[in-house]
Amino acid sequence: MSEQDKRDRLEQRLRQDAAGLRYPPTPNFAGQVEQGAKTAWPLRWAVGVALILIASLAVQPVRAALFDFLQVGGVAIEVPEEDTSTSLVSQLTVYALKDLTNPTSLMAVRTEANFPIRLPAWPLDAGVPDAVYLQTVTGENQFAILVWLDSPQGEIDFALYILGPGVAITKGAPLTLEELQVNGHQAAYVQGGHLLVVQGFHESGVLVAGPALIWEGGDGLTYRLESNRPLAELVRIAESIEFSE
Amino acid sequence: MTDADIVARALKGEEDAWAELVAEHQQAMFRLAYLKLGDADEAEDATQDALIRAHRYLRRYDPSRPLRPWLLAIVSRVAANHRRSAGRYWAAMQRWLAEREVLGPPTPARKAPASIDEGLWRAVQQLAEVDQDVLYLRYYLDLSVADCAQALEVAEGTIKSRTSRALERLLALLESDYPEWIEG
Repeated sequence: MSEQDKRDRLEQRLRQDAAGLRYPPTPNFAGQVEQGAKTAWPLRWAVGVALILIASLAVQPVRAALFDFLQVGGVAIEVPEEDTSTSLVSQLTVYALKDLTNPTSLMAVRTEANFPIRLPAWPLDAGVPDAVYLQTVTGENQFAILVWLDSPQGEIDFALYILGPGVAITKGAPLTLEELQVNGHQAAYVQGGHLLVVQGFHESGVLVAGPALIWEGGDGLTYRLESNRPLAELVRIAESIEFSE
Repeated sequence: MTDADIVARALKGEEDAWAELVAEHQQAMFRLAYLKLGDADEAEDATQDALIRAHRYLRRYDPSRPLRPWLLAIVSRVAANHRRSAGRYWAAMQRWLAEREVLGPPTPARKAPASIDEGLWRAVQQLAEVDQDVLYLRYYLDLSVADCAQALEVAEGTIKSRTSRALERLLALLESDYPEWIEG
């Protein structure tokens, strides 16, 4: 049987099985509405909200996500609705540097990655990263992780994620989410442990401790900078990347 | 009367209009939530949550486009959030730590619903969520490519490539793990 025949048969079987699938009965959501569980807004409130929405769009970066998520480049960040400080985070093991795979070198990643690898020009003494990793999600979709330590055997000073074209990340609701700009581009700063999921062949889930600055670069790539440094320093590091070689 | 007309009435405050929209689309929304969550109670919660959000943000709906994909996009996102509940996080993280890969394990398999080809269903459950989503919308809910694109908020070309990729992976899984399905 040819590959096309196999696929055609598979599609046919999927449709047959879908038609035969016995779903549980659909609850009567419409009936709940008719009983008054939901009422539409009076027109004056709708107009008021519309004006507020228009005003907010005029002064803030536009949210590409429908709601619940703030989209910054290739990263969708779930907007926290409540204080999650007592959440499941304390139960889980934090994603650590030693758990990263595919270590490589700066020279190699600049050859292997299908997107430019730019380093921050600040701090002045940062130099080249102490560790570099290149992760392939699917096909040509890659992201690089560059790590700077505060000493050769020390803790991580900052880790820079550079997401290549096509890489999408979803972040579970962090403790806090702040919108800002980096070099005039949309950015977000998150704090608090949260789940980070790279969309790809496998849906990965890693718990990151945060905090992190995420922004859309002028080169069309999405960057993520994870560090305990103050936000002002993270923005300075981030803004120094765009103009470096 | 089109969905856009009914939405316009709902935005003017006509409560019957919103109930009419819910009645028209609740089954598709609930079924997608059920496919993603595998549990009727969770699917009901996710659908209810999605309907509340849809009502709250109804003004953002683009009346020049079909309503159902817009609603399915909402329930898909809500169901994915429900899926990432504390218990599921814990189970997923345990598996990831055991495997120690950056690109972690596929979504957990669920009990097969009645009257379905169990081998095929199990294989679908082993796929990643991004593959499952496109298969659910294209084959289980029988959406067009255009409607799928709107529901998943991607381009039509992306739907075609995702579908092709999902089918390839499903076929590979069936050949390796369920050879009897291939031979049958």
